[in-house]
Amino acid sequence: MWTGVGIAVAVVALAVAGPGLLGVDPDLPDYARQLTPPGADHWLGTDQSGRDQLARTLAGLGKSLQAVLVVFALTTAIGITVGGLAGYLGGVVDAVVGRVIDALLGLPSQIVALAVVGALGVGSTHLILAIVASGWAYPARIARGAVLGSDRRLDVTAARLAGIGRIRILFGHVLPGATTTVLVAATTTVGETTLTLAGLSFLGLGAQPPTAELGQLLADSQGSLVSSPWLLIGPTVLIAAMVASAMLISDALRDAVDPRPRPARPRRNPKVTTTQDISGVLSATDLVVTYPDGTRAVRGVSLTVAAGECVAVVGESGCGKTTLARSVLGLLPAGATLAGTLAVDGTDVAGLDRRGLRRLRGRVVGYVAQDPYAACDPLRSVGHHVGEAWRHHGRRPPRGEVVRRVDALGIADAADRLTERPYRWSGGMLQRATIAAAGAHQPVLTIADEPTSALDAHLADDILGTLRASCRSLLLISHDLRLVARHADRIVIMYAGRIVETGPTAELLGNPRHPYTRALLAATPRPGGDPVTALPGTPPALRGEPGPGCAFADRCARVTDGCRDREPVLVGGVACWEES
Amino acid sequence: MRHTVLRRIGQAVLTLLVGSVLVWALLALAPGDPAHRVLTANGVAHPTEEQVRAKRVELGLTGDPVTRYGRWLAGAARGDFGTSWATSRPVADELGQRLPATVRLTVVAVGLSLAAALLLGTVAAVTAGRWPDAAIRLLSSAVLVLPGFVVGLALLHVVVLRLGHFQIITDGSWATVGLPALTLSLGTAAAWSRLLRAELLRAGGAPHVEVATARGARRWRLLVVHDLPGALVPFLTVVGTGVAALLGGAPIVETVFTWPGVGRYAVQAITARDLPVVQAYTLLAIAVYVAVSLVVDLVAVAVDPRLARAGAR
Amino acid sequence: MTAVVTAVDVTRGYPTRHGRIRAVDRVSVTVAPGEILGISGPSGSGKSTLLRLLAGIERPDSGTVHYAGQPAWRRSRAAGYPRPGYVMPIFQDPHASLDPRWPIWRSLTEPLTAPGRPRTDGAGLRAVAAEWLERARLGHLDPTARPGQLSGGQCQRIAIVRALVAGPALVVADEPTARQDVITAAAITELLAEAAGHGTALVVVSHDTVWLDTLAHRTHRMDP
Repeated sequence: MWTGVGIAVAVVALAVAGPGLLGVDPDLPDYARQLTPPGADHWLGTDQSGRDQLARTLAGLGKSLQAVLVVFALTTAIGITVGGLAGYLGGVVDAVVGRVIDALLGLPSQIVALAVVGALGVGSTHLILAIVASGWAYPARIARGAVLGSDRRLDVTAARLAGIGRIRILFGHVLPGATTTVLVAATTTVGETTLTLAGLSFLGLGAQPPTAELGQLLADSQGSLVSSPWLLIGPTVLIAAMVASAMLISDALRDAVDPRPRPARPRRNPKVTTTQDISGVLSATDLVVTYPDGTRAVRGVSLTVAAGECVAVVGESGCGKTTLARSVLGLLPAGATLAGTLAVDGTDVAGLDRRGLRRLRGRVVGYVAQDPYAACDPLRSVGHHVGEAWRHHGRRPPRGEVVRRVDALGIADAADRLTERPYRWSGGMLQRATIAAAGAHQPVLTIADEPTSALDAHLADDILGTLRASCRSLLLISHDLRLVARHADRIVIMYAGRIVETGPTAELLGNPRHPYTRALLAATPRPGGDPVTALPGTPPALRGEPGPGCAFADRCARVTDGCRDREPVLVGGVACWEES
Repeated sequence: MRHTVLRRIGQAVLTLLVGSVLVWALLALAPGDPAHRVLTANGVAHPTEEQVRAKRVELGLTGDPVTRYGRWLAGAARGDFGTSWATSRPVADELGQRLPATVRLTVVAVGLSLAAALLLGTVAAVTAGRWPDAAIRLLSSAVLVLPGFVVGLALLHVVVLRLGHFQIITDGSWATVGLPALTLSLGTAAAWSRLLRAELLRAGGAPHVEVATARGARRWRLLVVHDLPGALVPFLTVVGTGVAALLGGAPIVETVFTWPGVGRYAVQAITARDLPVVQAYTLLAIAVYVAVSLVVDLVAVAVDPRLARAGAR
Repeated sequence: MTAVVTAVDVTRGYPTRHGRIRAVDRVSVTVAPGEILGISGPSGSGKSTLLRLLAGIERPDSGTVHYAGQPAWRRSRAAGYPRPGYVMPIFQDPHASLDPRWPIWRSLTEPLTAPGRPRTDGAGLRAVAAEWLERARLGHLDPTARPGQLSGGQCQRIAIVRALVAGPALVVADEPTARQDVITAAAITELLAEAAGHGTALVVVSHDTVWLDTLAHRTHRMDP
């Protein structure tokens, strides 16, 4: 951003102050000094009439810059006015204007500019008009969209119901956003406008001699290209500087207004500090996971899943349960570090290289994601998604196996339905299909991360039942204590990256001991309609080294002074000084 | 689906119509009386009233605007764009003679751009954050900020004049198309490869790709089976709009390389105020662009039927 | 006591490529002051459409909606609310419910600035905002924060406070706890229950019948 602004300031300064400082008449010919190479007298040399190229370039820059700014101002102003008005008025006006805008955007803009100059005749004013003729359509479309879409905006609906007037909504909610959006959109076209202007004036369609624009200067030097190639330097550098600053600024503006999530970097193996030998299908000892930004999401978790067991990990958002699941699959982002032991079926996951991880994933560890629609490639059939479970490992699914597996999970007409794309499936059915994909190789352990929270509530029990029945052992991540109660053998409660309570399901729910477990239970709706109670406060931030004392102390109703001094350890299934 | 296809075709026809009205209106925009100008151009320095009136009838300048537009459009649809004011030959013949050279140039440029964009975009995405990616991005930024014709001039200077590798006279044949086509393709190749990189990274960050990774997918398989198809629709759209840049760039590149195509002819016509030629050229370019956009959009709907559903709402 | 809202035989359909489908088909409901009416049903059963009809955001194709005994949609375009802010909405998507450019104190006090209300200056509004944030157990939030800096659960509670701040007669909530974890959901539930305790009528839509039972006094079930 600031590089762009810096270049822009420098370019404008050159255009404004340059000619005065130089003090050379750009149009004064000196036939005694034609085509002099750059030197002390003429820093950029002279042209075929002996005019100083630097003076000509600076004067040309002024012309070009002026043209670009006029085009920008005109297109943006016309665009906001026409588009915004059309969207605001609606009805026939909007329909007609909308069609015209769409049609103009469907035309090749440089060709239209060329044609308009062809009709009006050459000259810099005509050139500007020619570019504006179709250039206003883009900002107009953005403005129209912003105003039209505002009718469906939720904040606008709320304001309308509150009785806020139409004009105040327009000026308070709609226009500020729309203007920013349009300005940012219009900025993205400045670089292109600069190049178009340069191109058309290169063709001799812009300002006529002697007042040349940068493009025209380049055209002039074409004739003496063989002997004097240096004539290209000045105009080229300045055009490039104008375009580069426009592009840098518009990119930065767009990122600031519409912060897209940065694309994920390719994943690499997390660094490992210590490893030991272990047993069980899943076994973690003193597991600590630290993200590159210093967030320590898992803070010393020890956990075992025995063969055939279903263990549920429960906690609110940000307690580290998803990080735990991702570490088992080796899916932590690059730069995350992992300490302690983490082993699946006797294999140390933390120490595996990329190939080793690949062999583990899908075959030893199955994975069911939260949202089945996000889990499937929208461009491919559901059958393709399930079949990929085999193809990922270089095999072909055995004949009829995909249909058989999906059919076994209770999907009618499996063969036909599998040829359809995910969006034609219902959420519950699609989640069954991804469960079939996760279980393709009968992995010893399946990890399911909130597998029902994107689905309608009444489907949850069924899906979890299907999941439990189709897996050998299951690590179930959830925030809903009562839902997992019917399916898990054992429950692990996590808070702020630690296990605070664990035990067999019936025991833990029958006699919850940690205050946090009780708070979770009190907050969970149960059949019968008893009111729920919320736990006040928010979980602590997980940056850096943990402080002394119990992480739950700030939200705990039974906190004592001792709780803040020493961290409770997990003894007898609960980590609480008041209970153990 | 069928509904969407029909709607999109209707939209293309509408765009063509708006374009044709615009092109026809160019005549009205032009200052002065066309009949007078044509006569002057043909050597009649001081035409009589009689001559001007006769010329007006000949040029189809009589009657109300709607009839005139209808007559003009009907002619254009048959390929009859009238006669050139400068040479008095049929515009269609003049353009037809030069069209093959431009087709050659544009087709080769599209091919070069696509090949370069696919290769560089994919390599940049796969090596994102490492040196090949940085090098490609630097290169494409440099190309994007420079006007294409400057690169063309530089190439001409270095390759042709200094090294003497190519003929300086380009005659519009396949043998000499290389340098002009390379010049024309640079901008689009850079823009397309940057977009492909961004879209590949976006597609690669999709949740379903993560799920596939969690099921043991290979990096390369993900790229071919999920990332590339996922990036295809936005890439196609940009290729479609990029064709406009190629069409718009052609006149400049043809002028730099004295390529005997319709673009250079159109530029000459503009300078000579030969409006029928400008009109015919513009309408031709618009028709090509509208057709390309239509095909691109239909392919996009075929690749991702959800677009049809969204369009139907 | 007059019902806050009464809908009689309301029907609302949408055109699709397969002809017009009826999202809501002859439904009648009535809600008394302080009452919480739950509306349950699977996805696509027309719950949200019914909610929009009850809020006067959409006009029924047939049937009538009355607020406090007065017919809605008396004139052609505007809904005939007895007063501005009579009905306030709570939506499923908390981030989209607040203007991303506005500080939260401004969003949540916006209903107080409607025409016909006593004029309050900026400082007064900030004071009201601070008081309500405290009541919603959000006292630790910076009132000048933008929605983008807050979690979904926090935004949702601010949207609820905005719905309640001007003392509406009726609040309609569309899946207000969707995708929130249990603790946040419980906090939202408490806020809603408390509002009903102060006499506001509530209509709450959800597919989670167990959750609805903990909150609603009555539940109307809809089927596709």
